[in-house]
Amino acid sequence: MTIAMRYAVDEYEAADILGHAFVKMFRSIHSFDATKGNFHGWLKKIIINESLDHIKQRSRFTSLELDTAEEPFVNNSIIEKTDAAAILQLVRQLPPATHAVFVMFAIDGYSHKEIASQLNISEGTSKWHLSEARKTIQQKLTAIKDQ
Amino acid sequence: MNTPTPYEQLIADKLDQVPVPDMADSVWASIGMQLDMGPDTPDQGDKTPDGGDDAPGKKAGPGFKGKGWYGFLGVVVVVTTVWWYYHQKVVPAVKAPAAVPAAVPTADSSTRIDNRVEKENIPAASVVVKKDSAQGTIARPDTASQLGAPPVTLPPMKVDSSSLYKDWVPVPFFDSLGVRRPGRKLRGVKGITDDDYKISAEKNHH
Repeated sequence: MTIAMRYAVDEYEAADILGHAFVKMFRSIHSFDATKGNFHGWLKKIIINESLDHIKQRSRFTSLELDTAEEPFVNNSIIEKTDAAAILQLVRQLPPATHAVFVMFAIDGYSHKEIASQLNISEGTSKWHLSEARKTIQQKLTAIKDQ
Repeated sequence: MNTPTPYEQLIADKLDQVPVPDMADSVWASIGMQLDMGPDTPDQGDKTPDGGDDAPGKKAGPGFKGKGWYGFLGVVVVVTTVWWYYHQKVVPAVKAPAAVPAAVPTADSSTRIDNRVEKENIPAASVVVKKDSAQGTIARPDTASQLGAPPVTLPPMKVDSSSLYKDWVPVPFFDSLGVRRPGRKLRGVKGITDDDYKISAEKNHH
């Protein structure tokens, strides 16, 4: 449920994603190969794929190329002091495609190549979305600090 | 750009601490409902975690259903064709006996009326059409019928309809001079004719 909560816009969509992911897991349980990885990783991948399918249904991924970008500075103390629910709400305010790329890269550890493959976009587009996500988060965290 | 920043690590740690809403019952109800719907739900087209399309219900389900549907259609077509074929063959055989009475020519309107009445009272299987006497077998004395040959059956004749009235009595015609009408009394005295009553004028000598 925690994984679905990162990609969903609210808890209801997260529950919907989780339900569909479990149905898919039950129906393809025979294809699980324990030699390729553990069951937790397999189920996590199912949930992420289902989350990305939901995001694709409600948004379109435009092709925007970016090779290098300046990384914005964010004070860690601000994040440490901020509530987890507020951080999640901040991430959910990102545009859907930027939201998906940021969560996949920063939280679930996907590379730009893997993100590009999963979302059918180029690596440059994935980098552009990540850069946009970092800028937006830095601005919002700065706004929280100023309050 | 290609590696997560330290504050992103902190964000990831924070997001793992997000409390999970208590929606387990609704999620399990949704899962149960989707599983009860069968293997042909739209969600079956999604990829498996390995990135392939080898979900069990995706290809096998619709393919089997399509073949089964074609097989069912084929069976229906074959059964319909066989039924139609035998139905077409049986119909003339059933109707043939019924057409025989209709082929008998009727003499006139009165004969037709009699046949219809008989058909209504007697079952169709035992109907015997009465023929007019004129249409029957006629044995001619001077022909081969006297020598034991089979009687000659004449073709149907057109009969005068007046001969069919049962109460009709022919009125005899009598000649007024030569034949006496039956049932009438004789007038006068026997042996005396009208000539005996000749009146003549006698001379009176008084």
